[in-house]
Amino acid sequence: MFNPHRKQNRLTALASIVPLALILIALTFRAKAEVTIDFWNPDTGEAVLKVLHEDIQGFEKEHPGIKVNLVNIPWSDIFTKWQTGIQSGNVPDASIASAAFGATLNSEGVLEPMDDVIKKMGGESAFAPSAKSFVEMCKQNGGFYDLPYVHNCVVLWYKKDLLQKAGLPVPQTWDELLATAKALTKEGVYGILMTSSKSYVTQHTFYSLMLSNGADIVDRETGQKVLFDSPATVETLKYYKELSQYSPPGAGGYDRPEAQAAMSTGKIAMFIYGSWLGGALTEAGPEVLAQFGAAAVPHNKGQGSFMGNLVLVTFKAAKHKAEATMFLEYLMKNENYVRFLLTDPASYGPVTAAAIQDPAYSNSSQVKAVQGVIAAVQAQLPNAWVYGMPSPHAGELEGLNVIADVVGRVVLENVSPDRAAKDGAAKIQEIISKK
Amino acid sequence: MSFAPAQNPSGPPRRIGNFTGLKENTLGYLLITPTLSVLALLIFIPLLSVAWDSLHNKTFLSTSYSFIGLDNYRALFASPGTWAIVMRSLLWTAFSVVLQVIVGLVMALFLNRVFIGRAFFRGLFLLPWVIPVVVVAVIWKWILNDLYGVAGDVLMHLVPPWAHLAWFSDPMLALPTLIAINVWRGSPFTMVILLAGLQTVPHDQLEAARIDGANNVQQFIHVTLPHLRKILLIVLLVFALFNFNNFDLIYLTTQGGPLDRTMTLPVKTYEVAFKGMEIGASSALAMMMLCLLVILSFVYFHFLRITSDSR
Repeated sequence: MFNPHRKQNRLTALASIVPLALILIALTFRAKAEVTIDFWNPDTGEAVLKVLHEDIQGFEKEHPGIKVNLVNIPWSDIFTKWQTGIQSGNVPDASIASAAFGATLNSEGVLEPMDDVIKKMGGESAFAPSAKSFVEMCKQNGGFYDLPYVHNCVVLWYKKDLLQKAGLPVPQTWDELLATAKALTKEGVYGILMTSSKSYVTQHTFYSLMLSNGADIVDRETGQKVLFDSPATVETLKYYKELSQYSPPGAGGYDRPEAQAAMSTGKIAMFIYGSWLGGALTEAGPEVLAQFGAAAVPHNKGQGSFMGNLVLVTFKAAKHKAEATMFLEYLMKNENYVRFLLTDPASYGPVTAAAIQDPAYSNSSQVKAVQGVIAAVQAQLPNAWVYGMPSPHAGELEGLNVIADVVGRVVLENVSPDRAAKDGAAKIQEIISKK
Repeated sequence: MSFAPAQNPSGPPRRIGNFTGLKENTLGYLLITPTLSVLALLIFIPLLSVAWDSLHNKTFLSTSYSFIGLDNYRALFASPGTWAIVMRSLLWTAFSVVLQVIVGLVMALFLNRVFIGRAFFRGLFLLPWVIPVVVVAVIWKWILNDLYGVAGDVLMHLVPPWAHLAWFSDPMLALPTLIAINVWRGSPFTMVILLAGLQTVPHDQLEAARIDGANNVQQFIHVTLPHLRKILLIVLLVFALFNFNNFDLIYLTTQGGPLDRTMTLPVKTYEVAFKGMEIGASSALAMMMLCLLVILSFVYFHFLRITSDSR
């Protein structure tokens, strides 16, 4: 029996299925034509994320068919994520990392060489002379396994009015630093902030003083020989303890937030800390930033300070290596690179000569606001270093706060510097001997 | 008097364990399967995985690892630092629990009285418990900061020598300071539980004691406390487990420092796993924690049974 409704139902079903099928086919073709690269980023500051999103939009516009999936993973978690990714075969296509973590990943043989990207940038000569030690850190057997991205270093921060009021110049040597700290410790003001907590702050300050005294943690050729118990380290420990007399009593427990807050109270005259403090002071307001000056870390028998850095890496097991490399090249294009640098010029120091010479960078209001800090950083960068490098265990040494622990024992527990340095050296040896 | 086994009054004895019994229980087994599956997925499999990892030299730094038997445990037991951490964990737990119960009990006794504004104070006293731990850590780090903390200003007027004490970085002060903060945070919860218990104490017994001439302290010791005994035991066990496993407050305030003086087993386990990258060694530490907690629970239940039998 003829049923008109049945025919109508069939037509309705057909009318629904055909567009659906077309959409599915279109989506399938689109999916096939499109490549999505995963880019992991541990620097989750608001300004950085804004610039990265802009870069991604620009890149996707320039390269139709390639999408970039930005995955933000904080520093505290990213190393574990890389390792689980390596073990499960789900590595990102590219990532921001640090030289220390890069060395560890490279020792596992999982990083894709960066030589082609650097060749396209104009070869090694594209890097500024101030980036020399950073560039060396990213190489192995003459080839690059990391792409140096940005760097900074520890400087001597000082409160201008306190030094001016006391009629004291900015200290340049250890003796001058000690004398200045002593002279300024009075009437509720502390001459210098010396933390002894088990934290990165303590490590950055102490390692900078070590370098300024010609000491180091491991040798820079192989990274296998522990130098931590040298007389220069022992001398640095004694000096650190001496300076701690002129520091607030609770500084033994200060981590980064407390240290930064302490600086803004106006009760601290000096602090040996990263140039990245400039970012926090800028956020507090231009009038706060204007109260502080920055200079090179006072020296004794050596030169240098701790170097903070970011590198770019791609993985051998990445699914879209070619596209990931294109994205990294895009990030290093001068106009994009300068835009990234300007998010926080005190923290993100340029590695390329082109960026340093670019008026868009050097004449920008952001750079001019922290010109003094940048000058101090630039002066120290050729001698700056990352502790533990080139050992592939540099990241662990950092994470376990080994040298901060040594400082704490000397300052808080009155262990002899000689004993503490020997124990620290044994601990470092134990860590770098691990396979 | 007969010592014959009791018979099932409703019919013949059930033959448990044979096929008939199994068939009868099939529905029951089926019904508990989802729960068992979830338990297996969330508890037993991760637990076995941790136990298995503790027998390997697994690290985050390498994809290859091998079976090393009990080497991770040997290294743990050989290290004098481990025993110091175990002792510190037990001290932290004991002081925290005892003080949380005492302070909670005092607060509960106060709030059990009838007075104007009682409801307001009940809410107010509960505040420390409802504040997230991360906020508690930040608040106390700010209050006790030697340079810009409020406590320093107050102490400057009351006890000047204490005004610039390094509460979190003095090796002698750090652990007591953390315990005090932990007591401040945990006591409101013990207060709530004990307050509920106090409200079940029979008024006629208190009345009878009063007529017999018992003063407030005697009423508390001889009437109130015996009524609270079981609740107190439960609170002691639960809070012992809570405090022993406490990671967030310690990590957010001192990260185990200064010089490991506030380092407890959970913080050490985290440090070894995620800073030292040692999965095997941290798993051995985690298993050690588990064993200690099982022993604590066993002692508690044994004690509970003895006290129940003796009634």
